[in-house]
Amino acid sequence: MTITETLIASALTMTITGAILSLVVPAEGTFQAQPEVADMEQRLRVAVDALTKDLVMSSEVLPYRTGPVNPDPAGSFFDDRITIVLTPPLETLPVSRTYYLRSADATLMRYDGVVTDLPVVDHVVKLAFEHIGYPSTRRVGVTLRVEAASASLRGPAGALFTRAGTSTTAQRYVPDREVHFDVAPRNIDARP
Amino acid sequence: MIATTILAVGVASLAQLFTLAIGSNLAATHRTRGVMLAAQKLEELRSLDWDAALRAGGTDSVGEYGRRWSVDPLPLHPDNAVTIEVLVTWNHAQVGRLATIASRRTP
Repeated sequence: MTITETLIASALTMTITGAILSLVVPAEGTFQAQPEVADMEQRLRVAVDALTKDLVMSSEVLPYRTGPVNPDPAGSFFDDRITIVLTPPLETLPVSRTYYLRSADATLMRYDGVVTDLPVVDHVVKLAFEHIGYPSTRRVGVTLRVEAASASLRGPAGALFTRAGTSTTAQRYVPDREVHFDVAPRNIDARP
Repeated sequence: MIATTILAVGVASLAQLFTLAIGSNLAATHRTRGVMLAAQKLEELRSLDWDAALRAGGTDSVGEYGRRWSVDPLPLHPDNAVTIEVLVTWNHAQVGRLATIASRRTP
């Protein structure tokens, strides 16, 4: 092997190695973002499961909050909250749960219809309910949107992000994720 | 020359793996969307009145996906129960299928 051949081989090797290493920098952002994407999916899954489980079993759905603590006027209509009335088979009185979005800290909340409000999922930036057939609701459409927990993975507010973050490069963007699903309450005709 | 040939064959095999992985990911995406669209139609059919539900067979399309559904009386209880089946197709291939039984509630 001549010196010329050695030089050409070295140049080729270095060029290829440099190209491979240049992929490492964007990959670092991807490695940081992927666990957050998984967390967002998990938050969506928990929220969808909680809402679906109660909506499927409900005997009545109301577009306002009921109960002794901060109730809305009966008959009012809000598309960002829902009261789900459940009639358990062995209970004499129905129980209710109200789901709503606490906008101050972007948390999906559940009120047990008596005294307690508890958080269900955090970093929820949109919650909307569609009552199909209202006032005799037969089906409920639910829209949920979650955001990346870390502000460093969110960019300026707009189509991709409901709440602005601090990221200045799109390589580290993890856009909000939104789902829509429908549920037909199975016991809607069973109410007394 | 022999070493280069062996290397080229190895790299070509790896490239084929990438193609297979992309194809599998695409198929999984379509299956997920297909099942979601089937679930959406199933909930819609379940929310219909009993008489309307019994006549609710049909087809529609959502974007590039086609949906076909049927509602048939359950043979054992034809007056009080129906089976609802929803099929979702993409590019003439079935990507989602859900079925359920809905029963009439007696007052």
